Amino acid sequence: MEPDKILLPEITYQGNDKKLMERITKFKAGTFRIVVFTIVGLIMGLYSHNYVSDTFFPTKLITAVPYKITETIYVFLIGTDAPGRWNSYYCGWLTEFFPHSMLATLIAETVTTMLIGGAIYGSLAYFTGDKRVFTLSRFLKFFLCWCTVITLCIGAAYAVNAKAVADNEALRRTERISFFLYNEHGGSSTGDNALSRTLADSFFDDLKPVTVTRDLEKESKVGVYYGYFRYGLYSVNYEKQYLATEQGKTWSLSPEFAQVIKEFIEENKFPDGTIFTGEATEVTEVEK
Amino acid sequence: MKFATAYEESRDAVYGYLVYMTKDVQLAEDLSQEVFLRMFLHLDKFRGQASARTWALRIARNVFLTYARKKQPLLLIEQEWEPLSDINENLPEQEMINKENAQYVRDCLMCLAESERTVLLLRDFEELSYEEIARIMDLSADVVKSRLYRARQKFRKIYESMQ
Repeated sequence: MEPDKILLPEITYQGNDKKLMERITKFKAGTFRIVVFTIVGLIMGLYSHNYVSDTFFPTKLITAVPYKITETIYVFLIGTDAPGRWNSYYCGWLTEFFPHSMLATLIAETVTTMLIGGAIYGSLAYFTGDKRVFTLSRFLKFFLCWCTVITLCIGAAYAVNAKAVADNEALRRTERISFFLYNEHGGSSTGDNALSRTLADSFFDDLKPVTVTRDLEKESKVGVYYGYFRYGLYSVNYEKQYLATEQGKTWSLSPEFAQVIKEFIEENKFPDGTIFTGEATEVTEVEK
Repeated sequence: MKFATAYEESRDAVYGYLVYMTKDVQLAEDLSQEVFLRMFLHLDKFRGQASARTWALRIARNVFLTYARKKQPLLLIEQEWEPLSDINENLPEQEMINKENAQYVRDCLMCLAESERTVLLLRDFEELSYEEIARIMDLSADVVKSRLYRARQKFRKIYESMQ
């Protein structure tokens, strides 16, 4: 024992353990409630886009919230002109947020909405907890975590889309490839095994970057599905035999590919000789 | 580590520290509850580098400082000597003497600055090592030693002068 130590009288705890146990129980119950509400929120977020078909107004309103928030965020980030422009070409296969990438669309429309649903309902549960345990500062931390996760998710959607756009520009091939063509019959979509196969077979032949003077009036739109996840929209001039990407890069086309496009656009003819009636047919992916 | 073990290990230490720091039994009890709740919430962050008691006392100090800064800044500074308040005269003689002495010691402690009080309590009441005290107070062991020396001197001076 130290010689100069000061002897202080002993003190034993006089407090009530019940009070502490009560607070701990409330914390556990509150945490459980937050977890349950968050899971419910995630599920509601997953089905949030179904609000359009809901006919009962109160549930429609509740279900719509996560999706509408997602929509607001992406429309704010992307702008309102892009969706309209893309919608005219996509027949609803891809959505307006990231029309180049199915994966980015999935992240944007489904994953982000799920997370927003989880954040909203988790937050609601937070506010129903014991105020002494679930304090405002703790809620702010909780909310900040959600904001970070949602921001990362939005960033991931942008990154995936940017990769898809870069691949489209480079015409990076995939194992499966199919096409969307447009002609005067106005079918917003068409596809045919023979047509797709012939196009797929000839698309990458002679494909190399070229410098040409573009003739915009004679260009036709050609959509290319790369596998299941990527879509590129190109302008094709079958007379000058070039293809222009969205960002204006030009590539040479094989005569065979240009011929098929020409026959389809000018004569409504498929490579096997059948005539396109204007009715949209199913797109069939062709293995390349 | 289980919360129940950490709680049992540190309950009296935390409470005692807070009683001496606040000189208010009820307030010490409330602050202790806050400390124990924080221990429960952050048990996953306790890595066992120090004992549960040291960890609990570190939390207790933070809780005390936060409370004092917000609600009673006077608790952080040296206070003027206050004469003893009346002790219940119906108590047996020895118990009355003990109570009187305890309150006298607490009053003397309140005449020290917060950091002096803390270092003195952690060493002489909680019997922690210099290293443990240094960890709790974010100081070096040498600074703890010199601060403890000064605090003891000051305490003795006050204690003797008031008797």
